[in-house]
Amino acid sequence: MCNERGESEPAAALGLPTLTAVTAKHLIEIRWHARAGQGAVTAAKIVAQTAMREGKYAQAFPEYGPERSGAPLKAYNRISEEPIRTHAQVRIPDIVIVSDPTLLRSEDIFAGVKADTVFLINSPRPAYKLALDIRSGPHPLYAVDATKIAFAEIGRHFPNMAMLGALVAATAIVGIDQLLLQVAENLGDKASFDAVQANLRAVRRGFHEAASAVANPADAPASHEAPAQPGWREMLPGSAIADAGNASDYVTGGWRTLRPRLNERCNDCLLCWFFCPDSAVVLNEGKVTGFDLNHCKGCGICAQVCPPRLKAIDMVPEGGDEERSS
Amino acid sequence: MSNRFAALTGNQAAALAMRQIEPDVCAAYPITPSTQVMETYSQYVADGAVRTELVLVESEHSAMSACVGAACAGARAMTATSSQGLALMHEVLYIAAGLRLPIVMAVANRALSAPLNIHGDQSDTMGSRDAGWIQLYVRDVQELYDTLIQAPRIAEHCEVMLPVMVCFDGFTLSHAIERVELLEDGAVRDFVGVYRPERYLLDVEHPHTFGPALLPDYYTEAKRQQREAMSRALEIIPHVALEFGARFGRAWGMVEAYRLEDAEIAAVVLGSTAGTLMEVVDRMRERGVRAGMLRLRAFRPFPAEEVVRLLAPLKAVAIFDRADSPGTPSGPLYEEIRSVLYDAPARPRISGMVYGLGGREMLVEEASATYEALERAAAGTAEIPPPGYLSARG
Ligand code: SF4
Ligand code: SF4
Repeated sequence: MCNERGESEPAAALGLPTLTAVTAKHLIEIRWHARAGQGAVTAAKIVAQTAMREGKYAQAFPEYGPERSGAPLKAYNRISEEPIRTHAQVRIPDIVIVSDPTLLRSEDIFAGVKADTVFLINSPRPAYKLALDIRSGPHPLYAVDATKIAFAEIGRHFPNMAMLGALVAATAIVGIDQLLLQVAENLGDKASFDAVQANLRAVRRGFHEAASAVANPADAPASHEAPAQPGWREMLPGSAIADAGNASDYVTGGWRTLRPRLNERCNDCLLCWFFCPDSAVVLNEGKVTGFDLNHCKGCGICAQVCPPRLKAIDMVPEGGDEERSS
Repeated sequence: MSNRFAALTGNQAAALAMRQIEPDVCAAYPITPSTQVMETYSQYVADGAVRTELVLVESEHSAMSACVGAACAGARAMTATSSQGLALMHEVLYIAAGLRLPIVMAVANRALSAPLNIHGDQSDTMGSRDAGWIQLYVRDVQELYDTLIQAPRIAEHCEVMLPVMVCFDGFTLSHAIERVELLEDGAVRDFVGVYRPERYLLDVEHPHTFGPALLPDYYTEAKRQQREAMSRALEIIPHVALEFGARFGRAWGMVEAYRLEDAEIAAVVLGSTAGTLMEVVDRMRERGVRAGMLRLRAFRPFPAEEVVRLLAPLKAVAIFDRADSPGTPSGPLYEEIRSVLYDAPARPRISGMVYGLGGREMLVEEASATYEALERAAAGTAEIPPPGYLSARG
């Protein structure tokens, strides 16, 4: 429940079943909803490594969809005091992490959750508002603007460092010190000192800036049953599809976390048009007029190939879920 | 018709059946012992006897790939191969079956290297038994000819839509001349009919996409559907055989049971060795031994019901595998027959014998010795021989 002033309150003040409730469990199962290329799989791995560092048993494994940057993916963690033998996807998570706000529109984040499943969501919205908007009902919910933190500290869209910090704030499944050590250790080999520091700052900010809320318990999420998919009797032989040339029906704009924005320096050299892998650069009489945002995946290739002296395309954050759904 | 009978090798008979079927596309790469099939067929093409588009490719992998492409486009496609050639096709076999393309392939069975060997055994097609193809094994050249003519009807049946391998023992049948009763071209054309695929790539009026990627949320359903098609083939194969029999007087079912009605002992086999076993059965019968023989004509789909019905009442059975499955008790035929008999209320004692590898034919004497061992096991005077090799020097 948000308070009267519309501010989110610390979980403890609301009597939420958080820290001890989660950590007292024999086995903790986490489901990450993320986008490929934002470091979620790495983050899940860091959670597992940190838990192992603390003498626990842990698993981290991804479930990939289309292996393209920006495509939705899931990743999972299991953490336990006992050896973990299950090798199957997590269906009834204790913790659900949504590391990109744009996923709230497309992904079934409530699938299989229990009443005390904790949600941790990357969102620019205050936790109380998010809880009301997504109707998270009785679920403890934590929000953190990990995208903002990522751009401020790392300078790139790697929200999952802040998500790691926030995860520890929300659930204490591992210690923050051990987490920071693990992040430093993992990045140490490949990143510069400054980059490691930037990532550690992002983790710390996530830890401090995560805010909690609980929506009206009665305002429970609507039934989250996934739409029925056709069975083998309905499928055409050989998995044929009764359509052709239909790639444009596959709206991949939702994969985008960064959006290309054209500025006035464009001289219509059309390099971006040649290189865009999704034919998403829109031309009118030989001039670039914008981008087909239903299909642009936000890969940034257009901005990369645009001549450096012009830099006529800026990649800007897609913005929060509110902006996108409006 | 004066030339109703002809003396043909298995390969010639296969090529002749293909000429009469006249597929739209043949893609092939030669390999012993099936080379002659496509060699003869190429001659037909060169002579203008058929209008088939003959695609001469650089490998069997390409041959099957070209057949897949042609079949997707809506063509009736056929090819032939053996041994290493079939092994090289392996990954494309799954694609043909998964896309539900009714390609027909004549396979002259041959051993796999190493050791290098060009002679007959069934290791090659046993290696692709789970590729999703229908597999029919024939006993003689006549059956090869008849079965190839039935194959497109089975493959293209709308409830099946699966590729078919017609397997015939390399050299034993591929290079042996036998008397074959031929059908008239027109009769074959009528029987086989025109292939009208329900959906195909070149149907621009009804565009379809073939070969999509299916992730974990759909792949299982696609495979489940394939399994269903295979079990539909259990009904369609005898149905087509029955129609063939009604028209031409020669009937071939899912299995061939020889003197099994009152039998107490029997051997089970695939392919040409069945003929040898029939001879031995007759000799045993002359001695008053109630011996019989069961040959599976279809190995995929596996005719489980017939196998149980025919074998369960017996006392002792020997299963002859012309391919080994190292690390298991015996060969694949042995495993599967034992498995389906598990639920039978009564089961025979079962022995498994791997034989005929690399062209070492089963001799009449060896077959007789096996039957005699079964006879003793049935009488309770000796244990049934444990699974092993029929003839391997120690
Ligand atoms: S970011 Fe640029 S290159 Fe990438 S899909 Fe969008 S328009 Fe095309
Ligand atoms: S590459 Fe840059 S300058 Fe060239 S057309 Fe595209 S946006 Fe304009």
